[in-house]
Amino acid sequence: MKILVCIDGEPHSKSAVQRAIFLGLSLPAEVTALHVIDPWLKKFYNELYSQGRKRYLEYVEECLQAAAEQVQEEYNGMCLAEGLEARFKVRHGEPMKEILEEVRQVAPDLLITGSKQLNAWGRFRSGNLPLRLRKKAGRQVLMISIQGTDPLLAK
Amino acid sequence: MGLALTVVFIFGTAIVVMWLCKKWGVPDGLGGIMGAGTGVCGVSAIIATSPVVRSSPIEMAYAIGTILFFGTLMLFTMPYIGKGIDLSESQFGAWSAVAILNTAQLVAAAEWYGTEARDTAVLINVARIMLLPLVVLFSLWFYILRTGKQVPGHEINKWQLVKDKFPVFILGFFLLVFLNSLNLELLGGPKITDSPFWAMNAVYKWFFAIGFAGIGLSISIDDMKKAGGKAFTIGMVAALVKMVLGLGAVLLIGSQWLRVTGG
Repeated sequence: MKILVCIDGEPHSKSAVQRAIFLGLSLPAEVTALHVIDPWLKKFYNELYSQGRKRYLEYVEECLQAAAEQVQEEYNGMCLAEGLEARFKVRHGEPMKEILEEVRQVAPDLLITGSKQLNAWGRFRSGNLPLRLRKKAGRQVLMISIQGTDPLLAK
Repeated sequence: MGLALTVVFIFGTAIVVMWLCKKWGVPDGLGGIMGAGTGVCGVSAIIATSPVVRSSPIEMAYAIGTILFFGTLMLFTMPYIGKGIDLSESQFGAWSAVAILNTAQLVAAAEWYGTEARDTAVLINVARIMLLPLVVLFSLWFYILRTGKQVPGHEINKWQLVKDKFPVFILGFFLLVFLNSLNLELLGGPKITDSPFWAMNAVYKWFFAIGFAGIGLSISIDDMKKAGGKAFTIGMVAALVKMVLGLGAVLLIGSQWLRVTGG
């Protein structure tokens, strides 16, 4: 069995990783974490009258890479602590598109994502990625929220 | 008069926003780019300032989304307000140049209002952009040098910083202003048919249209949806205050002092 867990370093995605590790060990299943580096900020480097474009691009790249490394480090640490093999994959692009592409290529049995409790404006802003994934992924999607206790992890 | 107004609004906004952000515990990375972004020319100021104050990607996303959101909102409301209170074209041009948070939207709003409004707005905006290196330098001092946060071995060279952020196209702008002021028969003028400056003026209008089509195509609703967090509140307050104070200032100064002459 294959589990793909989407991870961005935010608290709700850490809860998703915890659940993925738990399921990976219980079933057992092969768990892979996917982190998508979204290059959205880079598109503004050519803004009208912008100065210091090269430095801006370098800086954004530095920040995104550092964030990805930190996410990977945390994920590896969590897997190591539980005794699960850490598989980590990075993709570059628009998150929704990249996750769906990974799902298409890897065909996991279960996709796990974190989910925030958002108000209406928050849902409009974020485009509610987990819900859209559930509709478009074409396979089982488990959304983990940090609100409340995860009954499977409660001991 | 337009230049004096620009200096007051740029530094007034940047200093007040950065100071208030510091006082209210807004992280330096966000306070720095919001101060520069609301003070100077929006997204281009964020691009210049973010590596200096070391903003995080999420702070940059919030700030860019907020500037685009309020800039676009002002683009679609200010021309109607201007018409409603019977602002002259030069007054509207100056008002949009000091109040609208992002360059593209301010030029678009002024263009919509009229040719004289656009000329005034573009001229004041050039002055605004010319001051960008000084605002970046101020952010460096305010957030890094003053607080002793410079990382040893990674000192920022201040002169290199000014050089990197200096808008080189300004030199071309001033060269053309100088040549136009000389009234050389060889170059003619924008209104002298078949002269080099007349041809440049005709071509410029096409470049302008193509440039704005490009800007429109590169900004989407999804970009504006990134607006949020503390950046949204800062942007909203700065936009409102600049709109009200800018309007008061152009009404007090009057059309005559803001008119762009030449050609």
